[in-house]
Amino acid sequence: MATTKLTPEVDPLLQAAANAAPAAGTETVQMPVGVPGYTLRQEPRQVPVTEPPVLPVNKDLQYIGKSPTRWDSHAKVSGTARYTYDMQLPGMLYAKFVCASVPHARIVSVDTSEAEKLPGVKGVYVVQHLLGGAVLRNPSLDPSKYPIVRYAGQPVAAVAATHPHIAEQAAQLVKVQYDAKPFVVDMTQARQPNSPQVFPGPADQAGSAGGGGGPHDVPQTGNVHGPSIHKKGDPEQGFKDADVIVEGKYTTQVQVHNALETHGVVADWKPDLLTVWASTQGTASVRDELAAYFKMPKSQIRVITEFMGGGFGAKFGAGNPGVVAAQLSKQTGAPVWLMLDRKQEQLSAGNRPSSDQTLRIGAKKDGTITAMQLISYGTAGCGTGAGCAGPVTHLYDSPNLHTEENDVFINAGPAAAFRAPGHPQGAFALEQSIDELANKLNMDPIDLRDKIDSNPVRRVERQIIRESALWKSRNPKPGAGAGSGYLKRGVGLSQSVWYRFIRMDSSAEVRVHRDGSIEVLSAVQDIGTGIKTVMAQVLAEQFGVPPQQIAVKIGDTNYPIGPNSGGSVTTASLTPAVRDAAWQASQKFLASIAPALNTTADDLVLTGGEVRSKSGKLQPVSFRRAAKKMDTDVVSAQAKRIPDYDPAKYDTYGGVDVAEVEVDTEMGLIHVKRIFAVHDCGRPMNPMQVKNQINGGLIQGISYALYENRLLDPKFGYMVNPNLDMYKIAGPRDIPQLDVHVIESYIGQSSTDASGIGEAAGVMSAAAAIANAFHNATGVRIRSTPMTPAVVLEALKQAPQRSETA
Amino acid sequence: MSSSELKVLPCQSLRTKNAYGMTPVSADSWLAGIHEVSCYWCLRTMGPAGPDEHYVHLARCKPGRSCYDAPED
Repeated sequence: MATTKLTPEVDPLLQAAANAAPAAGTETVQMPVGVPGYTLRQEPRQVPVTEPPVLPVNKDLQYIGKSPTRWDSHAKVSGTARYTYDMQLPGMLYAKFVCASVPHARIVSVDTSEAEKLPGVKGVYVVQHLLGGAVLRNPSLDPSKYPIVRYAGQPVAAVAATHPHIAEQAAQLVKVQYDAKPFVVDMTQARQPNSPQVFPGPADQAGSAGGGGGPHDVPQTGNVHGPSIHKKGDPEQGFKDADVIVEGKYTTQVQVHNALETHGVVADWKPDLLTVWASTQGTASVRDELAAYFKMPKSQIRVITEFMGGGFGAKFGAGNPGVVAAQLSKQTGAPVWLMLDRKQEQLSAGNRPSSDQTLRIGAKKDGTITAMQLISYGTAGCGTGAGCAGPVTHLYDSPNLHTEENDVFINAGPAAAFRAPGHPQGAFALEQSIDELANKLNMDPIDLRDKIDSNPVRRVERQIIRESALWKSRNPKPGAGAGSGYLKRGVGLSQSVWYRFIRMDSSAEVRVHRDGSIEVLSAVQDIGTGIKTVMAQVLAEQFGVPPQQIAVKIGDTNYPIGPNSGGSVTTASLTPAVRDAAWQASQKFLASIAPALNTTADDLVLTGGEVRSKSGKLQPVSFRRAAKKMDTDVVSAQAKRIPDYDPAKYDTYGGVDVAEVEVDTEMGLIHVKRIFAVHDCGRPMNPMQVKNQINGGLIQGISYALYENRLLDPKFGYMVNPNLDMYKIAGPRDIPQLDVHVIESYIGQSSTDASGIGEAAGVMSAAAAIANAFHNATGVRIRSTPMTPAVVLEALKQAPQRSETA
Repeated sequence: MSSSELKVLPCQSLRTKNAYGMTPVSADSWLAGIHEVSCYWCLRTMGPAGPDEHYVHLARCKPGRSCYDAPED
C-alpha cells in the first residue's frame, strides 16, 4: 500500500526514532473490530509500516473516546468567536441583492441609475448573461443581456454601500422590467403535457444530447427529467413469488435550509491576493470555485472560516454571494460584506426536494423479501436532485429491486444537498411499508427487521431497543394503545442507513515548539460539530497532555488542505491524517530530545504530561521541561489521509429510533413524548459531541415530520412563508425527551477508526418512527408530511379503509 | 469506476457538492456516483441553468451542447 508520508530514509529524525523498522511496505496488525459487549473481536489488517500503533478500544484510552469540554466553548459562549457575519474590515462596504419579483420572466432591462445616485452607494453589479458561444435553447427567446428568471427570489443584481441600510434602500431603487412568462409551482400540474415549461425548448431524449449512451442518460419530457431507472434481479418474478404484498403512496414536502448563519462572504480583492471570509462547509471548495470562475491561480486566493454558524449540505462552492461580492470588491477597491437575509436564504439557498412515492414490497410468509419497487417523483424546483431510492436500495436485503426516480421542474428555488439527501423521504415510505408488512405477517417489527437486515451493528441496536422499557411498553396491536377517549398513545420504530465516504484531500501539520507548546493546523472548517475538539483530543492522546493545551488552527486555506464537510466525511477523513502527523511529530520530538537525556528515542514514552523512560533509567520529566532539550526550535510533521486499510470490509452506518407519541384525535395533534435513539458511527471520538449531533438530527427530523413546509402561492408563484415566523421550525416546546445511546463500532479501517455521524443522526428516521407510532396509536396509516392537524384529521377519517391485518 | 471509464466527460463547468473532494478512487470518481440526489449548478452562471438557458446535469452537459466546455487534460 502506497503512502506519501515521511519515511525513515528521507527524514533523519524519524530514522533515529524508527530504529530498524522496514523502510516501506506493509505489516499485519490485529485491530479491534465489532461492538464491545456484543461482537468485539480482533481481526488482522495489512497496514503500512509507517502507520502509528493500533489504538485500543475507547475504554483503554485517556483522551480519545472521552468528552472533554469543547475546545472553543469559551469563545462561543463569551461572544468572542468571530463568524463571517461578524466580520468588520476597514472601509468595508455592505452589499445587498436585488432579487426577481416574478417566478418566470425574460428581463427586458435593469435600470440602476437611481440607485447609483444615492449617497453612500459605491458599486452596482448586474448579473448578465455569459452567453459566450452558447446558443439559447429556446429560439423563441430574444437574445438578452440577462439570464431568464426561473423563480421569485433569483438574484438579478447587487449594490454595495457604506451602510447596510443604504444598500437596502439602493436595492429597492433598482428598476427591473420583466417580460413575464407562464409559470408553474405545483408539481402535479407541472407533470401535465400542457403545463408551462420551466426549461422551454426541445427536450432531450436518452442519448440524444451527444453523449453516446452510458449510465447517466436520463430522458427529459416536458418538465420531467427522468425516469432514472435501476434494476436488480427479476422484480416481476419476485412479486409473483410473494405471499404478501404491501403497496402505498407517500408524499413529503419541501424543507428549506435554515442554518443559523445564512449563506454569505466577505471578499477583499487586492491586486495580488483575493481574501474571502466565508460561511462555508468547504474552504477549499470556495477557493477552487473562485479560482476557476475568475481564472486565477489558487495561490492568489485565501479563504478563511474561523467560526461557522451551521451548514447542512448547501454551503459548498462560492455561490452567487461569493462571485458577486468578489466582483463588487474588485470594482470598488474595498472589502465587501454580502450575507443573505433570511428571506433570501429561504428563497434561493437551497432546499430538500419533495417526493411523491409509490412503494411496493413483496415478501414470503416468513418475512423474506422477494421484491421491492419504488417509483418516485419529486421537485427540486428549477434544479435536479429529487431522488429518494437510497433507503430502499441499501437498507434491506432483496434479490429483486426496481426503482424509477423522476425530477419535476417547477418555478421555485433550486434544491441543494440537505443532510442525508433523499433519505428522510425514502425512509418515510420504506419504514412505514416494513411496519405495514410486519402487521400483515403478524410479526414483531424488530423480528422482521432481524430477518431482512443483515447489518451486524443494527442488529445490536435492535437488541438494545428490544430490551428497552419503552419498546416493552408498546401494545403490539395497532389502535389499541393505552389512553382513553380522544388521546391515543403509540410507539413506533424506524431505521436509517448511511455510507462510508472518505476524502483523500485531508491533511494536517503538527508542530512541537521548544517552549513545549503544540499546535495542529488544517484548512478544515468546523461547521459547529466540533472537529477542533476532536483534533485536540487526538494530539492529546499522542503527546499525553490535556486537549486544552493543544493549539488548534483551522479554517484557512493557507494551512494544509482539509476535507469539505458534507456526507459525514470530516472526522473519518481527517482524524487519521491528524493522528499520523501527531505520531510522526512525536517520534521526531523524542528523537530530538533523546541525546540530551543520554538515552535513545525508543526508550522514551509520552504519558501523563511527562516524558518517561521505559527502562526506568531516567526520572520522569515534564513535557515542557523535556521540550527545552530539543536540538531545534520546532519539529513538525505533515501527513495526508491514506486509503482505508481494507475497503472491502466497508459496511453501512445508521441507527434505530423508537418514538413514543400521544395523538389528540379530536384536534389532530401529534405530541412526540420521547425518542429513544441507538446509533453507530465507528469509533465515537467524542461521545458527547456525537450525542449532540444526534440530538440535532432528531430535532431536525421531528421538525420535518410535523412542521416545516415551503408554501408556494399557485396564483402568483411566490413563497408565502419565507421567514421563521410562518415557516414553522420545531422550538423548545416541541422537543421531546431524547434518550441517545451511542454504539462503539470498530471497523478496523484507519489509524483512528473514526466515522461520521452527521447524516445518520436521526434526521432520516424520525418522521417514519413518528408515523409508525401514530399507526400503533390509532390503527391508521399517515402517509404525508408534514403531519399537521389537517393531515392527521384527514387520515383519521380513513380509518375504516386502512386495516393492515392479513 | 473512474472518469476514464465514462464514455464522455461532462463540461468542466458542471458542479455539484460531490465534485469537491477527492475520493480514494480518483479526483473525479464523483462522475460515476449516484446522481439522482445530485443538485447541479453551472460554474459560469452559478445557477441550475447553463449559458444556453437549459438545465445542467451530468446527463445534459455533454459534447454537442452549444455551451459545452471540454475538460482540460
